[in-house]
Amino acid sequence: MTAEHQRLPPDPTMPVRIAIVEDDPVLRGHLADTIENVSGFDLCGTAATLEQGLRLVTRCDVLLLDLALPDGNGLDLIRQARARGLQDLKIIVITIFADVRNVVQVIEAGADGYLLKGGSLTDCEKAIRDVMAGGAPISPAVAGHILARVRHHAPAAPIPATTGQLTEKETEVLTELARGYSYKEVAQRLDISHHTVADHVKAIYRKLSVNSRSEAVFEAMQSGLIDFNG
Amino acid sequence: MADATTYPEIRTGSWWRGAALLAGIVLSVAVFQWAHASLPNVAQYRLQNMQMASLPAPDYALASEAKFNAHAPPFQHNGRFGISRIIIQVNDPKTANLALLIGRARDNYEIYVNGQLAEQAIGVLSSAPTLHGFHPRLVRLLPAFLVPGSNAIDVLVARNATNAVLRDVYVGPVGELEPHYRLYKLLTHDNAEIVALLAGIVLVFALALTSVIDNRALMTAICLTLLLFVLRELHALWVNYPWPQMWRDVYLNAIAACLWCACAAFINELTGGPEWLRRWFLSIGFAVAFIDRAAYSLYDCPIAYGIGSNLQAACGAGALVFMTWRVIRHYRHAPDAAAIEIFLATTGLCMALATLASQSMAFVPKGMPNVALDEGFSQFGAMAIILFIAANLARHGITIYQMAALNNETLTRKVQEKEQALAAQHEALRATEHENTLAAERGRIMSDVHDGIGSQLLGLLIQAKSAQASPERLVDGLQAALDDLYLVVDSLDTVEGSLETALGTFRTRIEPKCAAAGVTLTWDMQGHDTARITSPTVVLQICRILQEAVSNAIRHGRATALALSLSSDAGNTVLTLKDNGKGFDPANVTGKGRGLANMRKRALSIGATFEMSGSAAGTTIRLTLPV
Repeated sequence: MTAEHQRLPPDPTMPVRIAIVEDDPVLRGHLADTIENVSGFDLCGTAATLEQGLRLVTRCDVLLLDLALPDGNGLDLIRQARARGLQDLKIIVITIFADVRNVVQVIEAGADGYLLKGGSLTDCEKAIRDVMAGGAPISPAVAGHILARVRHHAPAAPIPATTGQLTEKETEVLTELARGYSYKEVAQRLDISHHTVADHVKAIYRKLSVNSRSEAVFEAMQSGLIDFNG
Repeated sequence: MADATTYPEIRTGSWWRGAALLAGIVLSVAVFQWAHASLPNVAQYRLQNMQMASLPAPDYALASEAKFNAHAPPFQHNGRFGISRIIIQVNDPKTANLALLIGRARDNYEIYVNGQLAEQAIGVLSSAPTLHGFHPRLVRLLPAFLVPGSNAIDVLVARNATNAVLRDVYVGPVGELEPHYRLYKLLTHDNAEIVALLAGIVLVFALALTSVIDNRALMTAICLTLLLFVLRELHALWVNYPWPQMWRDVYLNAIAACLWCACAAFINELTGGPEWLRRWFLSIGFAVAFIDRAAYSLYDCPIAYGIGSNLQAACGAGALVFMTWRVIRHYRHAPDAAAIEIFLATTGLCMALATLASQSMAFVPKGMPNVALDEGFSQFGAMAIILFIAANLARHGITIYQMAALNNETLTRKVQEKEQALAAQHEALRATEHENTLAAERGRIMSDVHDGIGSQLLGLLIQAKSAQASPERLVDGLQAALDDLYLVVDSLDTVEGSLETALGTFRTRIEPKCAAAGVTLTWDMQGHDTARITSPTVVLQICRILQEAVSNAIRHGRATALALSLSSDAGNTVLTLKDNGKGFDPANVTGKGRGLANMRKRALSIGATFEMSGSAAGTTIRLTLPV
């Protein structure tokens, strides 16, 4: 057990420690200003490179991370942080377009959410608070993409059913989200609570992340990189 | 590797060559027949001319009356024997140290000295006389049997069917005869094992080749001959065999017949003669040889023996001449691969010549033919020719196999090359297709960017330069440009999705704006997902129309509520956007009509119908997408 695991659950009275990893000074400054202006948020550090960012991960509760860094891809930082057992660290990726390919990659790597660059102060604050509260953002395009992938892979899925397949309820939630309905609308339409929707989405996040790892293992076995019989 | 597949050249001789070979055989038969007829007592003549002078201190001498007479043995035997009497003059029996060399005895000889039985190998003598002895014997004449002065030595051996010839019996000092004895042993007795072994190996070779070699007659004859050779030699090695002597005759008859067939087939092969000739040649030859040998064996027919024996000798001599010619020819022209044939042929030749030489060495009279010619020639000549032919065929067979393997390899290589070429072609096609797709996509994005964000940014730049625009207007303009860029990017994301999802994404873009403007957005996707997206362009144009409409409603219509619904009507997909703004009369729109015209244009470009209806209570936009 690492020290990070033994950390206490976040105390609501304590300020949330937030770190920013972003190479663009303007955007970094904008984000830093935004966070410093919010009560209950504490900017604990900023970094412009992957290397500097790695030193920040153990000191903060929330990491705002840009993907395109001068010395590497932010995805690697997410994977390393997760591999080091930093499961409680909330990682929010900042993206310009929130396009499907990037977002899915980010979720699979183990991020907790994503945030549009250049959004308003409220957007930013809301995103961080949502993630801190255990929520997970999901756009209709991402939901549609996950649905398409599940449909496509399901018949011959080599992954164990427990992690590889979505439950019926999760699929329903995803379907509604893909149509553009908000969490609240989905909750109404499916006659469930708002929190249940968020829980389902969180579960989908987890499955994606686990799946991407088991798929990687499966593919490695297929290509002979790993040999269990050896 | 070259593609040229060269097959081994099979030389086909001419008719005259085949005819000459046949004529040679026939002539040889005649010559040998004549020799036998004109020199009836060759053996006696030879003994009379025995060279004894080489002995340094002769303690004995060949009596002048020494001669061979077929006279009655001291006791009656049930068989055919020749009795040879040699009279020698011995000075001192104790120092004479005499011996008898019996070249071809099996177990069927008896030696009497002065009427006393001195040496006997009686095993099968009484019951199974043999035609050809194989085990040479060197028998010492003990001094006790000899008396000073004249001694009569009677040697009783198997005789031929016709002539009571002495079959290689020599008398002399032990030291003189021993080398001859050893040579005999090597060539006749030990040789049988070698011949059996070699013939067995070649037989396996020949059998393996029968499927490859076209000339079945030749191959069958060779295989049979080899088989019989093996049997015969094994038989000969078996000293006290339990079966009748007749089996030996059967082998000999069959071998003679097969030899004939092999020679005939080979000549036919050499001359490339027609099929009928081969058949007649084979059947007549086989019949003649077989009947001849059978008549000789079963009925003691002297003429048959003569013909058969001379035929054998002639065939053997012919074979040896032929082999010599081939060997010389090979040494001059043949490829290296023929080495094994040359080796075998030369071995056969040497063995034949060595046999003749050993028999002639000390005892052959000058100017006289050797009586063992037939056997020496036929036995070794036949063996040599068979080994040669078999090796020759084996070489051809191996070459054919190699050619087949080469062909196979070439074929495999060609298939591989073709596969590679196909794969490369496929790859090139794919690359081209990929490039085309990329080019099309690039073109589309270029036009999208040009159509939207490009012109917007350019307009903003010009305004900013001329300092005409207020900061608020610049911010609005930049936001609009960014919004359009979002739409372009989103349109790319929805390639595999549905129209509902594309609209959902659009909602995430406009929702914050509506919220900021205090507008509530009602969303109604009526649960049907029939409208699959066909191209990003369609999505982009729909979203641009909606964006324009939403902007108009918020900015100009001052609406507080917006409702977007997706439904279907008579199979068409219908998008409806309603607002509660102050509305406008479409007929009156002129100045601000550029946005409206744009929306119509965009709808037209994707084959959709754009309708707009307005009243004081709000505006409704209806976009109908055909299936």
